[in-house]
Amino acid sequence: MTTTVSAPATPQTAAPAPGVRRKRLVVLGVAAWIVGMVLVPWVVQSDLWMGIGIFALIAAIGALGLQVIMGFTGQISMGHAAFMAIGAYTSAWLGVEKEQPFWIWLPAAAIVSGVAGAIFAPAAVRIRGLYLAVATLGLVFIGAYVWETWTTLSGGDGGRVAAPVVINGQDLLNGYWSGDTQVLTLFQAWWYFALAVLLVVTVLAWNIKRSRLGRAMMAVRDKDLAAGVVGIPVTRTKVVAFGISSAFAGVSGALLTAYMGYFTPSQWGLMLSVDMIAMVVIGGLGTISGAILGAFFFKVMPELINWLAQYLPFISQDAKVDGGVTAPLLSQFLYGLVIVLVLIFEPRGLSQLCRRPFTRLRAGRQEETR
Amino acid sequence: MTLFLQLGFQGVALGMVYALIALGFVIMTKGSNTFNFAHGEFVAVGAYVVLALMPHMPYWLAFLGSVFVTVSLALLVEATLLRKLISKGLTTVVLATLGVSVMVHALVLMVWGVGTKGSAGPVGSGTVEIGDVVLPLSSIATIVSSVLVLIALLVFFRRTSYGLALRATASHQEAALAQGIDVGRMFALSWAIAAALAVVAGIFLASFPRVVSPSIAVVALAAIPAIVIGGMDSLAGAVVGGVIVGLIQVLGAGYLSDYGGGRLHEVLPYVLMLLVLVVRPYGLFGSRGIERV
Repeated sequence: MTTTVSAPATPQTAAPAPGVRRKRLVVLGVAAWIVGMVLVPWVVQSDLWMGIGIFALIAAIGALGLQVIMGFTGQISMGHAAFMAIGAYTSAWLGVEKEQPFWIWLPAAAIVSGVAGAIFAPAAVRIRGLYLAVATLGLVFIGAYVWETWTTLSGGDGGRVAAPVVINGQDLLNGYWSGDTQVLTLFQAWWYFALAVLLVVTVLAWNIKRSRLGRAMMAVRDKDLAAGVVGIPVTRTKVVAFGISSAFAGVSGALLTAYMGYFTPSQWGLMLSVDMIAMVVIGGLGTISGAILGAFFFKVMPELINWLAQYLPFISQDAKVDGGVTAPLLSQFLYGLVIVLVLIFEPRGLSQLCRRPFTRLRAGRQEETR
Repeated sequence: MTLFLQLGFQGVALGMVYALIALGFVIMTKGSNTFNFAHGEFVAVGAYVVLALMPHMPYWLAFLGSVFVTVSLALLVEATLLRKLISKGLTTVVLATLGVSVMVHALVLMVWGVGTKGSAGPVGSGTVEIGDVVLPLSSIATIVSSVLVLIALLVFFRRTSYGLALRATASHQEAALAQGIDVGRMFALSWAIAAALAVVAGIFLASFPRVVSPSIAVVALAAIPAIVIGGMDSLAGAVVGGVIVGLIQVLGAGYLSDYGGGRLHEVLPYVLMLLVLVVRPYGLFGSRGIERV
């Protein structure tokens, strides 16, 4: 004989429902993050660290793009570097040769990269998993060859100048001046510019994730066959995801080169793609915060090791032809090690790791209310 | 015609090297259902260790030493990583091997530095003339050794119980498990075989006129188009794909040097790979439909 015992109804307390409380927590966290980011240039006085911070902001834009294709749609793409390069060369050509302002070349970089991604996508959507990773790997090699050979565009091994960001007739690489007084230094000005672009891209990515399109992407990620059965256009979703991902990559590439002022074809190699993948994986696949956390983690970590290396006796500062443990090599090694360790111990990434204390806290509080 | 024969012969020689690397990829992919992005670094480690041991002992002993070191490295990676991550999905494992690749690359640079070294091949820079055709000894050695290795591999897969067990694991893991095959040991075995092949490939990739340098791992990645062209789960496909890629590279370097900045041959394999993916995503010999949507 079986008796079904209905679960006791949870007592309705005056406290808001967990969902509402969670939402409030997120809003609070995002607000705190934005305020913190706006304050950074006035707290951090070191030019070195500000520079690294700006690189991290720009990398975060590219990482968000990779998050769309890898985290949301579940397709491994090793070709991100190629799309970043397309954005970079588009912006440099428009900004330097055609002398267009940044509000032309930045969207143009996004559009050209996005279209390139969408053109490549039909070849990519037919395959998945290992095959896709391998096919996109080929894209990086073909891209690197094109940049090195197309010397009228890329300047060959010597590189070329990038598009300048000019606001009110002032190049941001000289800082921002009001009359004779400098309002913002070069680093402060660039920090705010990169932060503004990152915020726009973040809002876009956030909205994509919560829209019909984003849910379609995640359905494709979880099981493409099932997604097709419930009426999601699998191929179109993947093509759109590739396009959006590449567009973000293009913006990131354009900003990266504009900040550096000068760039060579050699920087668009396989390692850049691996860096980007590492950022989203370590940050946390499928989360917005993960891409940003991962970008900051991987830009700050090597510099921290360089800084620590001064105090370690067995590490030499400069690279040697004959080998030896140098600071850059050690940081490269640890970089690989971190990827492996995170994958073993917390495959959901740093964002999950950071959330753990809060999750515990919340769980604890729910225990109390019962 | 003489030039064509000479280039063709060298192309086949380079292609056999790619075939060995591609076979390693395919054996690991089939045997343990992973893709090891660190395989290129295994090739580099194999070549570097041979080069380091060569002055101190006979060549065959240096080769065996290198096989020992590289296989140990592969088994270490397999045991510490693969076993822990295999349940967490393909993406996780593939990314972990990327991490391992970065680590091994850094280690190689720490031990041997960034400079180029000597040649690690078993024969020097001599040549043999057959009619008008000049053939480098190193190319002959490459082809002869590769064919011997391929025959040994064929015998292993067809005639030994371990080979049979490995094939059973590759075709259906659960069924193999039910027959009493230690699948975990088969994973390790497939990685060990791949690493041993990597050493053979490494010494010939670094034999005359090529030398040992850190970029050897990137050169080894040219085997990736080979496996896609041949089909990712086909051993015969890996060999055919490897030879195709080798021929394209050498013939392209010989005949297309006036076009595209003289480096067109470097990307042609990748272009062909993308074409194959569009037309026949499962490759020339791969089994249809496994990775298709």
